[in-house]
Amino acid sequence: MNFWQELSNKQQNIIGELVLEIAIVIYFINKIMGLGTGTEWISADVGWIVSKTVVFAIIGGIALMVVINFRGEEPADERDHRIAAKANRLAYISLYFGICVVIGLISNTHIAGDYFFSGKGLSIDYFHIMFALIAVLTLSSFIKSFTQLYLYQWGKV
Amino acid sequence: MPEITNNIRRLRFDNNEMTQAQLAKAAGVTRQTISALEANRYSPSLELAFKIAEVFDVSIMEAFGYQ
Repeated sequence: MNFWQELSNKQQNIIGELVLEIAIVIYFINKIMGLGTGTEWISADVGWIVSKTVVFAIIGGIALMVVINFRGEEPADERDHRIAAKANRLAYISLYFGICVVIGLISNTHIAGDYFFSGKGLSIDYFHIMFALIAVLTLSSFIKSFTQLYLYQWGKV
Repeated sequence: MPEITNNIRRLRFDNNEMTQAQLAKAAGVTRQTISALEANRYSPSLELAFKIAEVFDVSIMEAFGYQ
């Protein structure tokens, strides 16, 4: 049996989700980096890229769901639940930590008047806040998927 | 730290070389879970331990150990 066939249906689905997430992130970063240097953050160009990325993510997500349902998801057993619980815990901790950092940066910029990190480029506007929150959500999702894959393949649970 | 060990591989062999897939189906788990159990990468719940022992028609102490 080759490596792919050795994997359970669930592991294959997680890899599929991970590949889709990475593709969306690469697409988004690639488009943003392709903008001219003089582009304003709040502009039609950036708005258009965000809209296209959201549409791409929705279509990709629907396609993935169709494939997963077509293949027929095998019922989860107790090991699947235990692995999911551990991965969710790590994802929650990273999400919590990330949100706290974003709240800290917002407080520093908009309440403390950039008192704590003055001149260090850590003051953020509303647009940066949106990106920071998306980054935190994406990162916690990555952490969940990678943790699950690690525990399925090598971890002791 | 003590850990749960098992004799599943030997019990499968003694039971007409039962495959992991057959045992998984009988115990109501995935083949990957049986594989992880044999590799000592997973400590089963008491319920699963009893089910596996029941499949082989042995006592739980014959199927699992604690050391």
